[in-house]
Amino acid sequence: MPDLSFDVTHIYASTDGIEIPLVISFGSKEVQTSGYADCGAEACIFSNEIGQMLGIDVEAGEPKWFGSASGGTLETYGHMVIIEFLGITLESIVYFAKYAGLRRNLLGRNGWLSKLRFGLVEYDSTVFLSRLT
Amino acid sequence: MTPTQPGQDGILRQALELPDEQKARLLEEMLQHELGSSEESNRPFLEKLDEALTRLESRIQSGSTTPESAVTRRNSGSRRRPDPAPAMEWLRLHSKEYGGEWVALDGDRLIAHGPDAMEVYAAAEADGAYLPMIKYIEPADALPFVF
Repeated sequence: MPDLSFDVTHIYASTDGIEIPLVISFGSKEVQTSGYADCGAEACIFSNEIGQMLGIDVEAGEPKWFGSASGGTLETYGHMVIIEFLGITLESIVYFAKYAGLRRNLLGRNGWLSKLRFGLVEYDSTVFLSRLT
Repeated sequence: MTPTQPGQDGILRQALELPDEQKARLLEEMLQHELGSSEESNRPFLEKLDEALTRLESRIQSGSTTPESAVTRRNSGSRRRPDPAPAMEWLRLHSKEYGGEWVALDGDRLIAHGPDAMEVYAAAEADGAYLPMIKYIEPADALPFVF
């Protein structure tokens, strides 16, 4: 049996997803908000509104379209930001939606999961995290 | 307010003269040492250390040092962040009352709420709270989320 150990244990209270409180920073601006761990998302996708709060010129970033499970599409722009959560700090590309109205911020594989060891026991509403060095 | 001890002031001044990397390391060690102390008389010194670290991180963010250094330093836990637990608990208890709105929370204190994200953000900025939790609350009747 594999023997796993992690640096951080987090019990998420929300019943609608694996919600992680975080601080996202761009330059000297920072916003405390939350994101949802999403193993099915290829990248980290945040709302346009959070980008605006950070003072980001969203459409000046790297353009990228994402497809959804329902067949819809989402136009986004990538920017390098710093994400701090549960004592872990990562420098990552986050894709901000072109338009306002994205219901939640997604912490996906590239830029988040790919930089972590991640364990999940959904039954106990518990995630286990370590930063890969 | 208790005045800062002269010896500590001198150490702090010398630390601020060092190159950024050494300065960050030394200030961080000093901060961690002081955080471990329960002496209230050290409080002004602690505040100066924290201010110095914040200034240094701002300089790093503005580009005078590589971003990876900023990440490394932040991972070392030098920066004080608000505990998100009170805000998350408030959200758990009150989300149904504010569905479809943005909220700004200072711990478990609601600063502002409304449908316009930037208006809520502006109200939070005007309030002056340090790093309020700003979040959109999905309507109670929203369909289960699948992106």
